[in-house]
Amino acid sequence: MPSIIELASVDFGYPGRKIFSQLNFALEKGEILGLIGPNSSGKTTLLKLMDGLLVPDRGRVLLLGEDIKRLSRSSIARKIAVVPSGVEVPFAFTAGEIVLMGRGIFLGRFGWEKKRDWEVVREGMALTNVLELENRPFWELSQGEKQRVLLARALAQEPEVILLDEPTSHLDLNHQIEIHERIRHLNALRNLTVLNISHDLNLAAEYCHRILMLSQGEIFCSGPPAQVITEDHIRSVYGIEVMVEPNPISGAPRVTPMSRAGLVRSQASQTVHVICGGGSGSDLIRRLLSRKIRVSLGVLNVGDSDYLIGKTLGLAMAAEAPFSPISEKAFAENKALMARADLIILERLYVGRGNLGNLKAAVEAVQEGRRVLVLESDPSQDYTGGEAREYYQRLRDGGATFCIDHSQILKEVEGVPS
Amino acid sequence: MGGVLQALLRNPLADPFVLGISSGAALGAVLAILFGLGGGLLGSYMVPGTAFAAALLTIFLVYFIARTGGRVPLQTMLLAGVIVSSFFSAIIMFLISMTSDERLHSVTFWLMGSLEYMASQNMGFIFLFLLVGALFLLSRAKDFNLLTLGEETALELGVDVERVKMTSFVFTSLITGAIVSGSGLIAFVGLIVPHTVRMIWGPDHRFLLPASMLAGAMFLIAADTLARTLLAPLEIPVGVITAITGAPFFIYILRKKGHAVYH
Repeated sequence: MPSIIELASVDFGYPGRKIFSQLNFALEKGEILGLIGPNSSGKTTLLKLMDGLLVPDRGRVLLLGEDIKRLSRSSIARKIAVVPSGVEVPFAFTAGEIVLMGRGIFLGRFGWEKKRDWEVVREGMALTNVLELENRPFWELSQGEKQRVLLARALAQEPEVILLDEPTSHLDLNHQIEIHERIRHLNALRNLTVLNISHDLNLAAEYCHRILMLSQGEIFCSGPPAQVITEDHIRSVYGIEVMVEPNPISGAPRVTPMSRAGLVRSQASQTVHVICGGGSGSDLIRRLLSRKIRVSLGVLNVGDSDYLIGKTLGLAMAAEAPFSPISEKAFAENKALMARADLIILERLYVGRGNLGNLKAAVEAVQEGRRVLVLESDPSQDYTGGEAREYYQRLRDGGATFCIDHSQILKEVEGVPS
Repeated sequence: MGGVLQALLRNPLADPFVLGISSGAALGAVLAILFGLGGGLLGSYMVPGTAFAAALLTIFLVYFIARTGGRVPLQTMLLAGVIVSSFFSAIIMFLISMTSDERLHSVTFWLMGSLEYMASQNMGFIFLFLLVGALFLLSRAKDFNLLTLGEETALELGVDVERVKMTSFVFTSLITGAIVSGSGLIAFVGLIVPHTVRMIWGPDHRFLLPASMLAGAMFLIAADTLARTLLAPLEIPVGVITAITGAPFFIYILRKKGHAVYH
């Protein structure tokens, strides 16, 4: 693929602050590239270097192979259109007049438009669904409408590449989706190259072919969304804990921030061991973590939904092979984790012969005098023909605290001094 | 001229007074009158000529005060203009306070603006500058439209902003200098005419500029006729008429249509 815009060994800085050093980067023909990164990582600076508003201290910016420094503003505007995140217009221009301003480079000496100019303007407005706004004053429009008008103006330039600087950051979700859908449509229709600065990692992952992640003026990584938007990368670049899983519909990576869970590891005041399985633990784990309590889990079968949550959150776990009964080894690991915990919680479980070991471990803990909280079990979850019921009886006899729901459990947990 | 400056400076209050062009021209004229250059064979050329030269010098002064690192930020230019303007006004007032003879009358009348001194032999010279300046500014009308969106946007839409600004300031000064040299300071026309036209015709400079030129001329001729006839044989300074009639009309337009034009 040929490059439309290429940065070759670019150095750039503002007075007293260096931004880029030896930056190399190319925007390829026909791609939708998402530019992501935290505030002050250099996203907007990179965009302004690409359209020649800023000039590199060293190195070159090439537009279709030509040094952009040598090109006039009007020849740059024939190739590159920019959609800003917002614009203020001091006078009452109509939406149609604003879009016509995109034709500025094509107008003659005294600046009068021809029939063809209005054709291009109306075509752009139709594509962005703003034709009916043509005679409305621009400043009267809603943010979403303004943004679509600015996109239409960019199209009126008939550019080869559109650079979008957070085009949807002021918009409601429905307008965000609509703008991104339009851009994808235009990309497919006209082979328009698009660079999109985005704060929304999910939208970027969904709508971009390639993602470039910037961190403190360096390209941290670039590639298909699934390779760039990962838990490790986001932790390194943004400094937060997130969970990344594929969007069930599109397959694009989907990011869920978990900033509080991220704090737990360093500040936890107490440790709670949760015996769970089959998804029974997820709600309780989340609520414990949000109270800055360190959590360990056991014994879980690999692949179990509680196991996946524990793995994502990086919790200490005792694990067993899928669909296998609890082995002595896993039982011992579980006991070891329990020994390190301030208290032990037995979640409501489906009990079969395979995981009776979990109940046995809880009973042993009670008999050792450990504090054990037990969620009242439901007889319908007993698949052992009564054996589980016996264990529960022994827990009750041994002095375990029985709770009816998670709220009661949490009250008990918070009552424990650290 | 207000129309051009309002676009260039993205500021609805801009007019030749704000940038110091008018004050510069006035200082030039006042100096010429006080140092007796008004008499003799070349007299009718000397006062306008000095005013014209002073207007040009002023815009270059303001431009270079505001210039930093190859660029001229508009806010800085505006501030520089206001400061230079106040400075020149102070000097003019000082000169007036030191003057007591019949020259004072010439100076005051000139400062208030009048078409009285518009000697016919200067008309050709003034017209030439107006024609050249107006044609140039009209050819930049579409760029002025783009500049109202901000300099960065104008650059992105293909305008060579620094060049347009530089040349437009020069041509604006040429025109202002030429006019002021003939008529003195006639307040208010440059400010309210473009605003009024904009409220009636909309902000497109391709209409706004020629319409303002015509409307301004018509307004001034009407005001001058009033000035000569109202208290005849006495003549009221035309600047008084423009301000007294213009201000209420402008307020009326602003109240009625302003909300749809500015926000």
